[in-house]
Amino acid sequence: MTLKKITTHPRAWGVFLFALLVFLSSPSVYAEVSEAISYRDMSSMSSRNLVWLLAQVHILFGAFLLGVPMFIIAIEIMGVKTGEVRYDKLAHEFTDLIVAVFATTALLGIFFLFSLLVFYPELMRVMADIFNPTYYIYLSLFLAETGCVYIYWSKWEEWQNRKALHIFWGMMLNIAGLALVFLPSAYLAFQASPVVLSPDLGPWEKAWTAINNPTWIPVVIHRVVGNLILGGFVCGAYAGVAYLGAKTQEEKEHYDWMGYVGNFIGVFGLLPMPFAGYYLMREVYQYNQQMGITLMGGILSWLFILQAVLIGVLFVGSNYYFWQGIAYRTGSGPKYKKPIIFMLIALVGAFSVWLTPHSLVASVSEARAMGGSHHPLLGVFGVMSAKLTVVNLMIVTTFICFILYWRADKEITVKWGKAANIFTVALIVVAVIFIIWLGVYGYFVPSVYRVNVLSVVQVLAVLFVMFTITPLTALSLRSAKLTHKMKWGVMPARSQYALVINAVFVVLTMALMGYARSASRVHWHIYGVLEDTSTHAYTPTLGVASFLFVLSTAIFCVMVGIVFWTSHTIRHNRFSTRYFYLAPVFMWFCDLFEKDEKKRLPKEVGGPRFVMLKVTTVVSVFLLTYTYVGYQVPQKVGMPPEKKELDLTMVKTQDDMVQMGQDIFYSKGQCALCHSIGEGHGRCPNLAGVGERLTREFIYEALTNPKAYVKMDYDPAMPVNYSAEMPAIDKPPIGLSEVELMTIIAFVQSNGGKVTVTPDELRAISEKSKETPVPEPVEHNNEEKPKAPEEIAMSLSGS
Amino acid sequence: MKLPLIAKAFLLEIGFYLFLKLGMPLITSPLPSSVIFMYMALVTISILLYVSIFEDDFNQFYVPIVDFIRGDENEGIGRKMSRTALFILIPLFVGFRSYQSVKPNFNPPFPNRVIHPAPPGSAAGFMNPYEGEVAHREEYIQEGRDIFYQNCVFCHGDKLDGNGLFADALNVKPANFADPTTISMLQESFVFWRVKTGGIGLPEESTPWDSAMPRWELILSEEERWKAIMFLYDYTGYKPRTWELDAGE
Repeated sequence: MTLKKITTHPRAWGVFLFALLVFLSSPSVYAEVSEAISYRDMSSMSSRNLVWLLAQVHILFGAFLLGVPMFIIAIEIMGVKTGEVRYDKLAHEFTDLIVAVFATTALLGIFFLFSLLVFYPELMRVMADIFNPTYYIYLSLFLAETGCVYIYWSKWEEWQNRKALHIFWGMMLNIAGLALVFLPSAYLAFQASPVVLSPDLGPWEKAWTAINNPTWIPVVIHRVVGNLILGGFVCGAYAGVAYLGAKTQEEKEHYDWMGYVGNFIGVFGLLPMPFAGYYLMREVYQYNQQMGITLMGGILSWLFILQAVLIGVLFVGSNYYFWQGIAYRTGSGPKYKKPIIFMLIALVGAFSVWLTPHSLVASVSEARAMGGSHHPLLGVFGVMSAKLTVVNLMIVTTFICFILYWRADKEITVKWGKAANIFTVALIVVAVIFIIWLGVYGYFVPSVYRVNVLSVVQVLAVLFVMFTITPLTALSLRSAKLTHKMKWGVMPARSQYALVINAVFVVLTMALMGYARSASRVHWHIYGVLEDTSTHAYTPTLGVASFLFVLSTAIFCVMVGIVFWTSHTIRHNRFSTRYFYLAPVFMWFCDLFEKDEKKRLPKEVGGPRFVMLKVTTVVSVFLLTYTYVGYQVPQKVGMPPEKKELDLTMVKTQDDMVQMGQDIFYSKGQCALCHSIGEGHGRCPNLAGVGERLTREFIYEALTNPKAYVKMDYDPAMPVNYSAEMPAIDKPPIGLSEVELMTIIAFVQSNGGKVTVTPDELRAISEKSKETPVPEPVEHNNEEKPKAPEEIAMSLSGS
Repeated sequence: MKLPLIAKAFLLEIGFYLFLKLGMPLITSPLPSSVIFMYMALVTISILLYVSIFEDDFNQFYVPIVDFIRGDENEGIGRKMSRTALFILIPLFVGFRSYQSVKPNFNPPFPNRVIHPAPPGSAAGFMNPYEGEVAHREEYIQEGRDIFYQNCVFCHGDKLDGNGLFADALNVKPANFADPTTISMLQESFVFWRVKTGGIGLPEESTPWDSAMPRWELILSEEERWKAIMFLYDYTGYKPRTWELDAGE
């Protein structure tokens, strides 16, 4: 076996990766660094930004890799159903693309992992402690994915007559891919919304408890849909560029159609995305109000204006492509001028509401004229009710556009055609009015009603429109007379640029949302558990952040461009695209000898190089504009809070003590991961008013020996989703000191009771911290001893 | 007479600008320039998008522009001059904008503030101690009313609309509680925290914030602050944001 054969073999890469990851996840790697070093840094560049870029580019590749197979399989099945060869050809071409990016994704993953190990050893140690059993699953899934992709790709020609078998492997590929989204998403969802891990949990139990955290499933859903969108639009862009460089009409027709399919899939994924995002945000708010406010109202709120720009561009861009399809591919283009103007106005109108922030950027005199930073009229556009309404309207508009495209050039012959038309129009009009009415009504009801009822009804209205009109149109078009055959390959170049820009903006959106998710943790590696104490713990300004989104997008685009280009131009039999990064060097080297000859030839206009140059220019202009926009919103660095040392000389009154206890309760003590005070989601007993019911000794006992009592009358109103056992908080991993414990008791007592801990007592404890006066536990109710089968209810006794 | 497409687009731009700049103040408060810029950018983009959809529009719109810029051997002196003028005017305009942005001026910089400063984690733990006491509710609200009119009314106004006696002296006007997009969107605990720290006592991580609101934790007791908040919600008729449906409705 030659070296080439080995390195071109996906399995060889898989085995290498497996060995590497096993090695990395073994304790020996961590043994040396775990003691002393929490962070390393570079002199040339911020290590945080390097990790940021690597993570982002890797995840973008991963998204492409996992997103594309989802629709490849759909297209292949479509091909089998319709018997058209072009579907099969298209699916095959897409598969070539994912094989081409496979090794790159793995390579970037390794870069990313190494950078984390080098720069953030402590975080990696903590994460490995929790998740190490799952690494083996992760690796096996990776192997499975590699195997499936290899079989699926290499047997394409051979199994033409055994399509069922081939599709089976395609399904397996997708299942492995889907499972691959679940695991790493759990790691980062845990970082954002950790659950408490008792020290006596076994490794698997511990890993599962950590995986099953509140934002895990919403993140996974959001990602899967996001991957599909990314895959669709990037394939569309690939087709767009290929179309621009196509030499023959036949090629043009093929790539035109491919671009159409890619765009269609992207839009298809885009439609449920706002709902998925909304679900995720809701979970975030429920998990932690503060995190929600940081994201939506605090320092990151302007980030969502930047995101709104991207989403709006995506909607407008894909509709623009649809409109051009109507104008050029169908025979009745000019007839649609009026509806297109109408849709454009609707879309841009909705977009402008979508874009209007709640508090506007205004100079002092302008703000004064406006009467505050909220405009009396535009201010109402700034809140959720308006945003959700217009995003639903944008979806409806896109849907109308799709229906018009579908019906173009077809004469409905069924008798009830007219009635169906009237019904369709009436339904859309009623739905739009209904959605707007719900949006307006949302201002006059309590938030919770709006969030849980009105928004859901809005979404249902949109879905109802789609699920009623789509089959109706399909039925009425069944026997329709074709007045004109769809003409492919006649689209103008600008439509193809729209495809490319759509893809770029999807990538940007992903980069932005990845940042939003990770920035919502502010100065925490694991929210509320492991603090980021490095010099990079601050939140950069949005301008800098936008620059990094643009940079990671640019890197991704260039790498994907090179991969596609190599897979397109220098694919010989068995020559692997895995060498793509070397290919340009070889090409350049070979070119050197021909340079003189080439110079004499006139520059080719419209050739592949010219097209690449033009595409690159257009993309760069858009990216630079976006960076500029990023610098136009308010710029502010978010600093981590100052470290408060536990300074007993500052504690003069009991109120100071309570305050201190409260701070620990919500940070180091990790109490708030489960317990809420007042309103809560019932993961653990609500501590509202416990000070009144419990004695000090009992609280002490409950904190240090939680198994001693289990509250019997604790009856969670809802099924407990993220149950956990109460850990002893004076022992690792939380390990509060005796003084800290006392302040916690003071805080708990202050909830409805009288604080009996005194500052003098604290001082006494800290002086002889070795021999602490442990309050004697008072036996409350002997019958209440443990063995409650569901030990979700922790050690609190109400009686 | 049929107007050429370019003229139509131009008129639309002008019309829209005039509407935003001069028309809007007739209906409501004037718009800040940043918003006008944003909306004008959207109008421009939609015009460019529209004229590039159909081939005939595209030719009508872009071809004259390209022809004008490219020039023609047989063209008259007027066209040539105006092109030269355009190419001189563009850099001049850019230079003028740069000059405007760097020349010293006496306007304060744009206030750099977020809408809702992010509270520390502990803010989630504030709970209204009077929540469950239905029997004395009216009593507490009455007390809250007194507290409001003794302390808050000077800025937030007797209709709670942010138009108190001092309101005009403050930059970033006091919050308007009558606006349905303010306190009804927030949780009670958050409102409590905002009253507690005011604008002055905000921790560093919650900034940028720009407000002269006093730090009420130094002036009012916890109970007094809760009562005042209960009054705010009672008077305006809004309900604080909650997460459980049965609790809110």
